[in-house]
Amino acid sequence: MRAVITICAALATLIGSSRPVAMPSHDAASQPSASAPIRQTRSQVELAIIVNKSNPNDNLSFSELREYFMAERGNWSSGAGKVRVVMREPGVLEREAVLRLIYDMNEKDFNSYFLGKKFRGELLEEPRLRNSTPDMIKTISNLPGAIGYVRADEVDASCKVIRVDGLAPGDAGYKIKL
Amino acid sequence: MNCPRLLFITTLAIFGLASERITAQTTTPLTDSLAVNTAHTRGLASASAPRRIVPLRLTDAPEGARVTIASDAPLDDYTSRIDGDSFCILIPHAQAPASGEQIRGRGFTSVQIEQREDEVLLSFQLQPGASVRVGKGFNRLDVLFKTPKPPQPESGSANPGTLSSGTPVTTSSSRRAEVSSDELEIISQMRSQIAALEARIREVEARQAERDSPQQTAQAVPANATIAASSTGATTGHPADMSEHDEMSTGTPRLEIQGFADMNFRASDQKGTTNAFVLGQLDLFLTSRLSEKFSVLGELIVEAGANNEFSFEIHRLLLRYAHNDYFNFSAGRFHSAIGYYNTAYHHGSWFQTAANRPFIFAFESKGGILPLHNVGLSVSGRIPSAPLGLRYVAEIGNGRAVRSPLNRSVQTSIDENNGKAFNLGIFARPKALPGFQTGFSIYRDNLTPNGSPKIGQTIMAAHFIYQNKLYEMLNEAVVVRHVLNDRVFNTPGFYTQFSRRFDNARPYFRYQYVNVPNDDPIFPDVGRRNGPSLGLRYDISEFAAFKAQYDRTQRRRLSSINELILQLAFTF
Repeated sequence: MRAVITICAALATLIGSSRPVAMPSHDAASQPSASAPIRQTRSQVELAIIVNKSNPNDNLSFSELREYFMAERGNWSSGAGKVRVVMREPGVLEREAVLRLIYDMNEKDFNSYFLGKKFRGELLEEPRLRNSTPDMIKTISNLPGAIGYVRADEVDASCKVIRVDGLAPGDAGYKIKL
Repeated sequence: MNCPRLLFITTLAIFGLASERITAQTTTPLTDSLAVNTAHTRGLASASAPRRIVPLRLTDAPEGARVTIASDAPLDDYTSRIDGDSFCILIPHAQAPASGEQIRGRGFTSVQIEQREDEVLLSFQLQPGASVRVGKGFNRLDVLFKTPKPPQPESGSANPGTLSSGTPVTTSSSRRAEVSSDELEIISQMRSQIAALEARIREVEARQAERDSPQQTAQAVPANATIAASSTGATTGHPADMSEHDEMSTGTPRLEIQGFADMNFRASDQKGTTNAFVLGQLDLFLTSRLSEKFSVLGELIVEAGANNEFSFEIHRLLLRYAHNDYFNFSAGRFHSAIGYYNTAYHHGSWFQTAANRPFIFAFESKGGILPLHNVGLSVSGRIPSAPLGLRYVAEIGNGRAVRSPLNRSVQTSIDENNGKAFNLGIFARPKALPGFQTGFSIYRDNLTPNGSPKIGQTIMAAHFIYQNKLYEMLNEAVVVRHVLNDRVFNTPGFYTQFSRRFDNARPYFRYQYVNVPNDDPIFPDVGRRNGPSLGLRYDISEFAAFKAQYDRTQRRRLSSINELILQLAFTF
């Protein structure tokens, strides 16, 4: 019994010391590093989370957003149909930002995560890949249930920008940035 | 139809119609002020020789006269205006025709052509009540006059009209040019056609996006072999940037294969065993999407047994129906949702941190005591409106065979009895704590071994899991309860596993325990096994890992076993 208690205490300590929730933060960008100037520049560019215009959602909490992107939910709770995640190709800043801020994963973890979900039968559709912003916007605007992201200054009227925790790009405190 | 061709043709049609619409609308805003069409081209035109205007050509149209102004160069920079009872067209950088033949027709009484420096001004004297518009071609302008209809009242009364866009147009004999009703109808038809074409394009694009295959995913997993289940049986690879229409070459389901395999070296001090290289399982994971909600999942295993002979077995084969997040139905052979490990890792060694499975979750063919495979039906999903991300799973199947040790334990085609095994599970994945999962399941079956009364089997399992990009903590406990003639035999078991990643390396530790009573009616030879495992997983590439693991297993009334396992596990 004592061993069990000891193990539980150790587990609780480890959970407490880890960083379980991948909330976007400026802390990383503000830490001194060799690439600090670049990070500061990137941090000015905000990413807009975009969905198909038929999607009735206007606002998502960050945890909901994460659920949708991680395919924890296969259907929109608002009745907007199946969730179809659209990602940019590896290597672009927008994707890196989404992996870092929303998924809390690197490329390897991301690949392994979705392969595992597919292997467990928890996934019908893997995230789609788009190689450019126009392609991303076109897919989102044509595909009901689609969710993706573009730089805020590249959004056009064919898509709908979702607020995250009540904040839209340009609002003070909006945290999804490159 | 070839989609790019359709898009190209459609685009051309839209541009063609749109240009016609623009041309037709050119005259609609005619007012007393000068209507400039494309003034920006004037500067360009003035740099070259003046255009020569050929003599005007008069033809008769149903509603009035048509005067054609033609040139040896494009006339897209003309301007027009109404000046009193005159309709004037000014063509810059042009030369008037040599002959000044006087013409007249229905809708106008005369026309004057003036050369003003490098501009040509044509002035049409309108008949009372007449309206006019200009149609533009490449190098010509058609001035279309419309005379008032006899039944209509005196000129000067307004005849309201409406463009399809809702813009009102009034006709005035004194100052206004009018868009005829025919033209309005044409414009309306064009707009309808454009709207229909645009809708068609949207439909085609939506359909293409809908059929955008899972191969075009954000994953960079090893290229799955993809077999189009067409009559040709052609096998194609699918690069991530494959065009969408190529994926629609057949309307039949597409079969995807993902492979998993491992190669091991095992050495132990257990009497009667020798160290050996061991080819592990070749796991072919198959998926195919049949429709929006139906899919097929399969897991085929080829492995060599203790006699060095290969055996093949279908370990999973499911037809799945995903209605929504709350109801998913599967039928076929599946991995029982007892605990966590069995449904998290299945047969893919590459997914596992450790080189082998915990005792308690060892497969039936490896001496495992749990019914990890089942054949039957399964439903699963989220629990609506439940907090903490609660999910459920309910299964019914044949359960496990115990009648003869020579029989395969998974009852794939024959059940030893008419009773069916049930498994109910509930687990939580709180969205506020990503990576955390806890749950409980209970499994119930009746076993009918030879020469023994019916044995009730109840398996209770609980798990507590936490995984993020650095840490992994797996903790599961299971109690297997057998009841024979009111006598109860409890088999407790658990394992706890902890690992932390350092870049590509992930050292791990596991402690496991299982204790089967010596007089258990089903597994009398398992006994107690417990001990630690210590290992290191090193990802030598994104899809291949090397594992080194040391196991020490203590056994009841038997000597302990020390074993070294080296493993290469990969997916392809």
